[in-house]
Formats: sequence, structure tokens, C-alpha cells
Amino acid sequence: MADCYLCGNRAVFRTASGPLCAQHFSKWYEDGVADAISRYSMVSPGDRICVGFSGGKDSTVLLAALCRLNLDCELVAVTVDEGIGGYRDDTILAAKDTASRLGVEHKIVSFTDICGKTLDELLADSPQAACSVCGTLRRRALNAAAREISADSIATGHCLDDESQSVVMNYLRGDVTRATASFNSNSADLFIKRIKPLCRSTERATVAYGLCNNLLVPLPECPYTRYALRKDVRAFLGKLEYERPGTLLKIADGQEELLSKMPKADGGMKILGRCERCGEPTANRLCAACQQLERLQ
Amino acid sequence: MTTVILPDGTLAETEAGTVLEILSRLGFNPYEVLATADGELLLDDEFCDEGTELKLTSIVHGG
Repeated sequence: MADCYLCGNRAVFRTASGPLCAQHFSKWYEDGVADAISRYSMVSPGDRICVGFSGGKDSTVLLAALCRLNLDCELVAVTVDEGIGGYRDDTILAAKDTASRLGVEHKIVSFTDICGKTLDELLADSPQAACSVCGTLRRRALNAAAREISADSIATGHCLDDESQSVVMNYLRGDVTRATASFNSNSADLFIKRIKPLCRSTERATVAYGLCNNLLVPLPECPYTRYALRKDVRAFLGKLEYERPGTLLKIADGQEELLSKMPKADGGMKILGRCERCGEPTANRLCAACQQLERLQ
Repeated sequence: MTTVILPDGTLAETEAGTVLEILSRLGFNPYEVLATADGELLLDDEFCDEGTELKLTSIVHGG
């Protein structure tokens, strides 16, 4: 059993600096989130932040950490109800309970609200398209909710693991355009700003913070989840991070440095307009969500 | 024996040992799970005596 290197109490988590007790670990984690917010200028005084809040581990920790940081901003938690039988009802109950305990305004927006059907109904004939359809429609739902509440930004629970996995997956797929982000666009003028306050916190530390602060309740897994390439990349990078702590941060920082050295607009300017059906920003006649819905109907 | 509550809620029994030894015996990637006993997080080199009830939480999200 190791002791906290700051106070001598029983340690619960090992950081690069040494083992920490629950209290000092929680402070260390919150400081990390605050540093990320400051490093990327994510929040301005008086901002109204729409927090994407599924009720799962990452978004629950995100909402709790943002509350603890006492930022000069207003938080509104938004849960997207995709309409997944046997799964979403429990997570929505957990989300309602957490938002209430944290004293945060909570809104629920459903796929039925934005396209008239649940995910289960949309996928009746093609369940293999679940993650792609769900991701696209969830972004649409979150954007719509953020506009409705006049949010300045949308905060999501993407953590360092998600960021590093995406970097490696872009290379593994040979997707040079995404790996180098070699285009400019006018998207910043059309989309509500997205922020990822957990982007420098590992998934392991994020879940540990949730456990230390009694934030997490056991919930079912999404029945549509198909991990595919990400599952393998996650296991591989997780093993490396465990054996060589700091690997995930080096991948994310390395990518950031690489992009800073890339010539700008290498791939030209991508001009976005508006979807002729729903008015969302898009480079095409129809946005990704409307294209998905057209294919499914 | 040590009782282990797996991330999916099922139970497993294994010999006493450190958290890391138990995770390895049960085939878990040690980065992907966190172990608690009596609601307290355990470090991986912590020894779990006979009779300990260990609960594993997966850090992986799927939804």
C-alpha cells in the first residue's frame, strides 16, 4: 500500500509525480482540466456552455468537474435521447439525477424531435450503420439544442485517449487530409464553437475521478456499439500508456506540433454553405444528417 | 479466495494476490479497468487478501 506523497494518507491513484490520496487526486485532476481550458482559451467570462451530457462516465465527470471549477459561465446540460430500447431510459434517469444533484439546468432533446423517428426505427433494416447514423444525428441534435439555448459553445467529454486514438487511426487509414487537417474553411463562422475540456486528461484518470467522487452508477452498454478499428487502437495504446506513462499525451502534443508546422490551407479553401433542407452548415447541397436520413427512408 | 465482481456484473473467484496479478490472471488489460474494494480505489500493486471483494470498473465507454 502506497501513501500520498503530499499528505501521507492512503493513495488511490499513481500520477507521474507520485501516488495521491482521493482528495489530492481530485484536486490534481481538476487542475488538469482547468489547465486545458486555459491552454486552448475554451471559455470566456459570461459564456453559456451547452454540455453534451449522455449520463455516461466521461460526460458525467465533465459536468461535475466544470461545476467544481467555478468558472465564470453558465452551464446547461443537454442529453440526446436517440431512442434506443433497453439502453437509453436508464442513462437518462442517471443523467437527470446527476444534473439535479449538481444543480445544473438539464434539457433532453430526442431524435424524434429532429427527424420524427427513433434510432431503433431508423435502423430497423440496417443496424450495421448504427454508429455512423447515430453520431451524425447526435451532432445535429446537440447543435440544434445549443442554438435553442443561445449557447456560446458546446462542451463534449472527449478525453486524451479519444484524441490520441483519432490521431493514430487517421494514419492507420492513410487519411492524410484528416491527419494533416490540410484545408481551411469558414466553419468557425457557421458552427457553434466546440470545446473539449478533458482533452488532456486520460480516460483512466477520468473514470478514477468519477469513482473517487461517487459520480458513477452502473449503466448498460449501448447495444449498437461496434468498436472495430478503434477497439484495437484503444487496447494497443492503453497497453503502451500503462507501460510507458505519458505516451498518449506525447501523441496528442506531437500531432499539435506537427500541425503548427504545416503550411496553412495546403488543400485549398473549403467554403461551407447551408443545407437546402434543414439550414445546417455544409459543403454540399444536403448536410450529412439529411443525407443519412434520405438513405434510410 | 478473493471474489471479483467483473465489469459486466458477473462474479469470479481467484487466489489472493496484488491487483495487477489478479487482473492478469483474469485476462484484463490493466489500463482498461480500475479496481475498488469497499468503495475505495486500489493501486495496482496493492495486495488483496483472502476474503477481499474486489470490484472492477471498465474505463471503456460504449455509448
